[in-house]
Amino acid sequence: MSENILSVKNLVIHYETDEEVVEAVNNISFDLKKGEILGLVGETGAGKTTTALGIMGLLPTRVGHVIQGSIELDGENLLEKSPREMRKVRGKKISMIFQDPMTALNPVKTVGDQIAEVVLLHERCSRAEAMIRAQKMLAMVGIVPERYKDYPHQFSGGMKQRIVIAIALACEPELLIADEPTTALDVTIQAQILDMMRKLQKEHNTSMILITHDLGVVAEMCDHCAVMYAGELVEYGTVEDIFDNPQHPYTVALYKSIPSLDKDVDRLHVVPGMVTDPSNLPSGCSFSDRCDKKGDMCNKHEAPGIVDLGNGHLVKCLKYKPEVEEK
Amino acid sequence: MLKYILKRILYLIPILIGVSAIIFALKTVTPGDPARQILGNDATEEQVQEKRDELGLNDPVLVQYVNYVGGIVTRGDFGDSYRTGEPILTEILPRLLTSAKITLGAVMIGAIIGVLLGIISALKKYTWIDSVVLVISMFFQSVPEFVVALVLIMILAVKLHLLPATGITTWQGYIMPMLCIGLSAVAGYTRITRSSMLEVLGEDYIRTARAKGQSEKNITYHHALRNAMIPVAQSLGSNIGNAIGGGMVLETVFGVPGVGKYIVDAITQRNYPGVLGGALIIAIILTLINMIVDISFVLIDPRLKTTIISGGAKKMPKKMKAA
Amino acid sequence: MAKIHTPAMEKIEKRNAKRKKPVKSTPTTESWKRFKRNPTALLGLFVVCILILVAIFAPLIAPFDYQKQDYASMMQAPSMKHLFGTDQFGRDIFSRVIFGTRYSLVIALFCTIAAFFSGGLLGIIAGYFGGIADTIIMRIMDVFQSIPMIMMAMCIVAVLGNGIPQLVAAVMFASMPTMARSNRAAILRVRGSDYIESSEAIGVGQIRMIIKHMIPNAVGVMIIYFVGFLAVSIMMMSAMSYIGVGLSAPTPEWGLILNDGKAYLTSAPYMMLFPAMMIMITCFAFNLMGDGLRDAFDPRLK
Repeated sequence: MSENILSVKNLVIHYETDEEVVEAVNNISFDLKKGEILGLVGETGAGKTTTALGIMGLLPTRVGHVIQGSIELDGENLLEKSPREMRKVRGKKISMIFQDPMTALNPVKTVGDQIAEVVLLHERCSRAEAMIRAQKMLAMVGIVPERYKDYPHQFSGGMKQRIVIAIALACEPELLIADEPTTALDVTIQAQILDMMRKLQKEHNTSMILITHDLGVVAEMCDHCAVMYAGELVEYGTVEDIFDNPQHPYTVALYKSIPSLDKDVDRLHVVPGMVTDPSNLPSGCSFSDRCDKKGDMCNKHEAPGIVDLGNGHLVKCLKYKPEVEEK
Repeated sequence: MLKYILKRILYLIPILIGVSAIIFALKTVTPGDPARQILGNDATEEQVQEKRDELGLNDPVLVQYVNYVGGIVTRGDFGDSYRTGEPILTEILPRLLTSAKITLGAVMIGAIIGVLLGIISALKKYTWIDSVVLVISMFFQSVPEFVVALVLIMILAVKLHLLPATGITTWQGYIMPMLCIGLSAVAGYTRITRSSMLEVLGEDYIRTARAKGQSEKNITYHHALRNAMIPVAQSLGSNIGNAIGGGMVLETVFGVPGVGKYIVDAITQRNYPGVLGGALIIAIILTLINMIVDISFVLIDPRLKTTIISGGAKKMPKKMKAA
Repeated sequence: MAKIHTPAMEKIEKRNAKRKKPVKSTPTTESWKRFKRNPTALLGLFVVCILILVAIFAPLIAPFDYQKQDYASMMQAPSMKHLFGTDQFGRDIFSRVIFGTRYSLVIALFCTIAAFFSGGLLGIIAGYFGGIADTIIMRIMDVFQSIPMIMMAMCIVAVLGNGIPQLVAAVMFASMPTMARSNRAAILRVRGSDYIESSEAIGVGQIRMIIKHMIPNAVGVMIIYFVGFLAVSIMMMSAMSYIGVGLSAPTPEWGLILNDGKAYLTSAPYMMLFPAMMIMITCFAFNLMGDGLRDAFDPRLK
């Protein structure tokens, strides 16, 4: 269980247009062990989806660029692979579930065809076999297999997300990236989908990156948790570390903004200010403008490095680098 | 499905009543006395009155209208030409065939080439190929067909003597009229295919297909194309309409004995039954073509099929209305 | 860990350094910025401006009276004296074409304004009020649309007779379905948007809603239709007068000049070449401009 399936190192991704350069992902590194679930948390625009697309090799062409870093899957650097080799990885080794199931399925193809497509692409089998597999997958995600010849518009949002999951798991990938898989769904359906995903993940021992901005979901599902802010990984650790002992001021602020049943508060705490504009990052620490523990050094010094607080709990904040403040 | 087709056919009736009403309204406000026009200036006032009775021109307008429509429905009687005295329908039918050959042929060929160019242009977005295709198609879409025709005649017929300037007595005569209609069809289809393709390629389900590891080629042809074809197919009806309209002038330029030239001649000769009868026949044909296009849609887009078969939507889906 | 600089960033920094002060960013300036970046659209705008200037200053530019017949110099090929040659009555074609710009543009403008005030208004009413009004108007438009636009216009002119008012009326009626449809779509798009719903929720009155919220937001699209329809009117007008309906001689409208030269296509092709060129250039320029405007106002469509 200790073997790393995915290892992202010093990844930097920029979006370049004629008008501006957006520094979407700034130098992030993390590892994912086999069979584990990593929660990727952060506000909208923090670079979570960009990271996922970067791993998939699906950054928007012409605009999205990986500037530096490496993404290793099973020890192979995905960034060095040719488009042709990447196509063999996508769908087979890594799959992705997208945010909005309403638009993620091709409206003019039957759902059976769409599941069978990925099977046909990656496995040697006949069309008929692929169709049988598609029906099995439908049954697995809790849809009557006979509906394989129905079209996407005949399903509800929750059902569509089940189909998207069926497509993602059809080739038993080693890594599943779920990009806010429940955000677009009703609350009641969210729990069902998450339960199903966890069950399937355990059964197949799939590693998973779960992107969300719902800390509750992370607490329930994940082993490790990474908090992103303005394209940086500000805190990383086990779910226990992050939840019981948050260290970065941003993580602390995020917790304060969660409604609690235990405490009786009139108003929820709000993280002050707006998400930092990633096309115009401040010097030094990106969070410094909104930080309530900001010191004199935070803007002057170069962006803070990562500090290991022991047993793999990483924090990116000057607070934990006393030698810098003394200088 | 059958029910839907039946519904579409029933839907024809109000449109045809409306079109015939417009044509009839134009007919009644037409200057000059038809009876006088038929008999000529030598006829006496009595003879004219007699003729008016015979033509039913002294009846109330509504009765005239009912008789007019009745004549069309029961006898295919669109009136007689002032010029030859022949029934309009007999004069138009053989010309219809000529026009159909040229127009439909050119639009079909143009559609195929245009769709191909549109796909290429969309796939080579922002390259010089895309820009060139875009500017050229814009040119042929914006310039009137008859002007293109005139320039083509000046170059190909007058200067180079490659093709006959007018007439379709030989097969070479068909080339230039079809080229003119075809060029504007190519232009229209290129542009609509390109923009539709670009829109579809940005959809989430294309990203899903990429995430499956599907190749770009298969994504283009299996996922994008069929979706992108929906607005393209929708434009077929209006494109044929435009081609018929443009064809009117083109047939005159090239001296092609088609319906368009017939109507134009009728206009200049003040042969009003010819003008209005011709327009009505064209309108009927266009309406039928549009109906066929609408029905064939249902075959492309499964979303429409369910709404139609289940009959869930009382009103027609929005996309259909736009057709 | 220092921030990473990429070539793309440097390029943008360099460009920003050149700019003196940041321009205030409003939807209009943004649109104009996008329009400026589009070379074909700028070319279209440039040609349209020249055409307008030519139309205004036609009497100063034209060397001869466009009506003056000079039997001493009939059917002359283009020369320094007669740039585009002369026609069968010895009239200077260059002068006729220059004055033709004035006639063609002004009549096209009348046609377009008339079309907007009839079909456009119907479309706005249908789109804004919806319901029965929408159904009735659009069904009627369906009926009108089953006759090709130019055929409809010709039928109407055939009945009404030749002349500028008749032509304008014919184009107006013929274009009604297209105009109604596109303006209705523009209003529907605005009407369905959330900001209209929210102003409805805070109780903005209907008239105020149309004037303050809907028209300003739909106006971009309507300008695009307006420019596009100018080209369509020129197209229809010239086609009709080429055939000999709509306008009558001696109006120096481009289609009519073509009609004059029809009989001499083989012997004196220059008589038709220049007016044909003018029609091509004008239609093309208006469309380039219209297309650029569309991209500028609605970048999503690009």
